[in-house]
Amino acid sequence: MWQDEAFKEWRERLKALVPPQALSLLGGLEPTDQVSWLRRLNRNAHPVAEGISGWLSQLDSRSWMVVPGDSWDMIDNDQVVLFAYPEYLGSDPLAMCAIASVWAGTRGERWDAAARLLGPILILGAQEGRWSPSYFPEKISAFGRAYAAYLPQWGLPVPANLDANDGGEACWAPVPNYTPYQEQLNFGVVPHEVAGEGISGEVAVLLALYGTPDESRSRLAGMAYRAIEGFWLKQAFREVP
Amino acid sequence: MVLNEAALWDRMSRPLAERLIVTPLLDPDQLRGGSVDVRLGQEFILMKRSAKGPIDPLEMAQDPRDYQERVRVPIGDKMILHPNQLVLGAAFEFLQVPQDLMAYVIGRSSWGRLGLIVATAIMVSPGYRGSLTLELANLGDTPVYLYPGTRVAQLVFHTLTDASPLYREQGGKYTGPMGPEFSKLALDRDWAAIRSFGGGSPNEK
Repeated sequence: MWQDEAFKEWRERLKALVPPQALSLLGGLEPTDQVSWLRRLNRNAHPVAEGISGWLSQLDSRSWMVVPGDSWDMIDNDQVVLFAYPEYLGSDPLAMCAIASVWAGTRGERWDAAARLLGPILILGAQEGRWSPSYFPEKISAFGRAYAAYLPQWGLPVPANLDANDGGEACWAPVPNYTPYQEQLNFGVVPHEVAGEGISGEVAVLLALYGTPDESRSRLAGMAYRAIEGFWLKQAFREVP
Repeated sequence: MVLNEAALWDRMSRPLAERLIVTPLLDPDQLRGGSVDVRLGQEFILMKRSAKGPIDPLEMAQDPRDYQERVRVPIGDKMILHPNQLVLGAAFEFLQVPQDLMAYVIGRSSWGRLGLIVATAIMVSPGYRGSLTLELANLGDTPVYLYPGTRVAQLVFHTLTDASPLYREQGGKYTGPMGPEFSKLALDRDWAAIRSFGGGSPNEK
């Protein structure tokens, strides 16, 4: 049928623009899924989505790639992990932290690694990124036990059945001091330390971004990311002999 | 009076509302003597030849994609600036100028000697907040590469004899940008007066 030939020709045109590393992931997919990923791969990811994905890729020894789509999705092989994110959220660094939860899926050891790196923003990021799979309530419950003392200041309900003696999961990272950064964001400036020093870490800034007013969220997300990007660049500058 | 190095460090350590902010400083050496070096950011607005007509400051509502294109050049990559080409870039650092200070943006002579002009509108008003838009032009005869992350300009801060109303409260047009911004000339109140003289677009006469 001529339509089938036209489809194949169109698919080959889409493939021509995709890096070989990504193409290697698509081999075993159904034709419609393959085309769906090819269309995503033909669009540029938002720099914030790329930056956060690059940071989170320390969780895995494989290369991570990220592409804009309509919703969260992931495919992987031995060398590459490819994520799709909701394009409309791509400029928000906290929402992009949902990548870690998408990667963790239902694998306990991955959740532990992600919780050690991200602490509270593992769950807050997933919520902000609108990622809520069926297994999520139990993860939220573990998060609630680990950070019970902070839930009121994050505007979240304290679970009724919380055991006061339960310190939560051991693997969750502690909450950094984020209030100065939140004060700076709400004041309308890029988070920083005094005397021009950049920030002390990503998680504190992302936690500061959580709970900022909806009406200024987009602008403040840009400021938060500028601070995080500066932190990464400063580290890179220091490593140069 | 121009602020010296000690005064600049002092200003950068004050309470938030009156703090001079230039962040992130990737290297403390960026603040030396009486100036602060700023780096070239990663976002650019390339000006291109319009297919539809000239830029009319009175009709800035026209689709800017006809004569400009936004590009991002990550640190580690480079962008070519051809002779006589104008590109809008932005400083990588975010800036907050306290109410009693103002600043001048001055290109670095090392770049100037290659033909690069960094800023034409060089005054930064009291109360300004955001990343400075830089008007980058190559006045030489040879193309020049621009590298995001390199130091392209320096800020020299001056005290005012009297604290000024904040830039935003004065109606400043460019408050708070995080990347380069195109001209907002059409927001000048003068245009209303100019229109009333029957000016405007010659095509409308």
